[in-house]
Amino acid sequence: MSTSDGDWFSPRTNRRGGGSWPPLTPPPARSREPRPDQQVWPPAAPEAPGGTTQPLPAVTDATPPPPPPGVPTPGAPPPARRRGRALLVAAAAVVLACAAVAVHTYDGYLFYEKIATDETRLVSVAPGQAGKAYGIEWKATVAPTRPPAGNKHGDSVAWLKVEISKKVLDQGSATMTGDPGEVQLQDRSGRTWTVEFQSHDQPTDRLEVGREYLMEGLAIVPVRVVDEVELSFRPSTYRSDTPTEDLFKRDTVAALERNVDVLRFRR
Amino acid sequence: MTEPSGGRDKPRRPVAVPALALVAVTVIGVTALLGGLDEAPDPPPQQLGPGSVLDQGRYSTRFVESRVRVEKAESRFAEHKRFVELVFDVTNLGDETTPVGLPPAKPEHSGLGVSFADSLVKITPEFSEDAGPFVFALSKDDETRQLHPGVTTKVIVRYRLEDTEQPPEKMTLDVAAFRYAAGFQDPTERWGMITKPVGGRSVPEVKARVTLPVREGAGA
Amino acid sequence: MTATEQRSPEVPARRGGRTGRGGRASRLLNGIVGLLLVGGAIGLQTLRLSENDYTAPLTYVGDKGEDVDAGRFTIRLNSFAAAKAIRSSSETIATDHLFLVVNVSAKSSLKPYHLGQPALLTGDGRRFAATDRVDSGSTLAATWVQPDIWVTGSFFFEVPAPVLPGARVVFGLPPSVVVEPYRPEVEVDLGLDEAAARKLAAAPQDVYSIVKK
Repeated sequence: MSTSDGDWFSPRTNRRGGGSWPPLTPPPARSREPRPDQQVWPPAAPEAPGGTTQPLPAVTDATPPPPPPGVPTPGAPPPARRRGRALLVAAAAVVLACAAVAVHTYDGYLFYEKIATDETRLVSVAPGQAGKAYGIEWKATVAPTRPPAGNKHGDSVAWLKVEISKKVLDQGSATMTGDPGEVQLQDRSGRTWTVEFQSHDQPTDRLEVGREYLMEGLAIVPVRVVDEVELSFRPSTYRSDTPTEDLFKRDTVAALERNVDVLRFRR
Repeated sequence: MTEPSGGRDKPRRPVAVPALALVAVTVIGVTALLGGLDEAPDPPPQQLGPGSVLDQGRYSTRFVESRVRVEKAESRFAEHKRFVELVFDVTNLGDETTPVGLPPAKPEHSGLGVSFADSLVKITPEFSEDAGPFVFALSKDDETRQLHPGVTTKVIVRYRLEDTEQPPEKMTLDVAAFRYAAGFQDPTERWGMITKPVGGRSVPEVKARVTLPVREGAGA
Repeated sequence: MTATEQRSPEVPARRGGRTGRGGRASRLLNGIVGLLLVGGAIGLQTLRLSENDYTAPLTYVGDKGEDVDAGRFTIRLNSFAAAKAIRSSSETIATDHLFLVVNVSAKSSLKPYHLGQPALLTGDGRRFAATDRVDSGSTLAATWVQPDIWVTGSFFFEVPAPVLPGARVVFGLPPSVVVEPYRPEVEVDLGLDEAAARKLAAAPQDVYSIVKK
């Protein structure tokens, strides 16, 4: 073995006869006694012709010679050690399986996040103040209102009137006629309710600079959260002078300002 | 490992396997030289007439008739509308409700459909683009676009005729069939049209060619 | 040869550890264990989900009158009725089969949703979509389902009477552009055995009206 490992110059028979396989015994544990010496040099003599190339002697007898005293049989560790290792392997298998599932799940979640959520930059607006995005000033009020007659909801639901006003500050934004998206009311725990708009009075092609345009909407929320819900929306960056047929082209969409701003009106 | 040399009897030389391999290679070579194997030609599509029934895998379809139908004007100012109609009795053999579908507008889309009318891969004579086709199913004389599983539904495919346009004498339909199998790239099993590759594209296999004489004089 | 010869006292000892206690018995045992493992592996193969099952939604099952929480939304099937015709504000539609009208309440957990049109699963596994003859604006699918606010409405099926025994109704969200695995759905058993189904089909309402007053 050690003779044949690096010894490429010995005669071929020698390399084979020396046994090209490392011993199958496990590495000795520290606690064990040193193994008996082995002859490493000079290299083993060439094998006699007709002899076997088998490194292991043929088993001729059913009863093997007893192991030398003091040398514990390698490869057959004490049962306790063997059980310990089995447990270790089992534990490792369980841990690896869990890790594989976890990684797969996390990867799926990241993908879902990427696809399902838009990039968002939250702009917090102090109570009573106006929020600004893309050259347009936004104001909003949320006020309790009387439930409409004949509605199917009972006393557990509160009706809110939502007013959003929009004022263009500079000429460059006068064509931003798109309605805001994701208009919603959010409570402190992050649950959201939708707002439905009934009317708004604004031209479809170009807005007047400095004039306020009003959108009115209604929302329902559970009575318990009526005093904590805050309005938020995502102003649109759509421009009315974008040709309609270009709206589905990749480079037109890429050239549009990305609507990442979300205004949130604190109460 | 190696056995001691000069042992017992000599091992027998393997002859059969190399010989067989040689024969196989020769056969394949000769076949290739002669132009290779070719698929057996497809059986020609069945020729069907009015009233015949075709098993399309997903649907069992009876080709009832073709007729001219006149819809009377609803007001004095509207005009009568005339249609050439194809009438089918379609039984959905699948497990779920399907839409009636629409005959393919372009031949290159013809292998992609999964609903009944998608399988009418070619309808001759052709009509202008404005003429239709309009496809709907009838449930108690009311329009629907659903074919429910295990239910036989009357399906109408129709083209509108211009004022002076004469209806054709007969309509001819090339009808394909469906099979429930895994997709080419998608291992999910689903219904798809039975197609065959022709010139790098998959083209629906025409299972039957149905000829329906157009019956005139059916009023509304 | 010499190197191995030196080791020879150990090697047989190791082998002896195994063969010493009757080699044939342990080999037999190994064979049996191997066969068991192979058999187990083959058995597990048959449990493998098909691709269709693997991509199916997550189903939460419940009974009529019970709140079934599917995570994103909660559904309660209040009642159902059979009818021969349905009257809406514009027309009255009739059928050769039966209209099955299910009355449902719903709320969501975190966000507003619209429900999709439900499907009716028959005892033998067929899937009937809700009918398109009733405008979806008249169904609960047109109403926002929002956190903590119960809303109530109806869905409409047009089915042959023989499919009613063992029928279940499956509610979910409308199909989305983004393909999402394991979307939640709620399956409610109508609790119709043969006798109850026959009774329901034998006495349908003449006209079920959805005209808003």
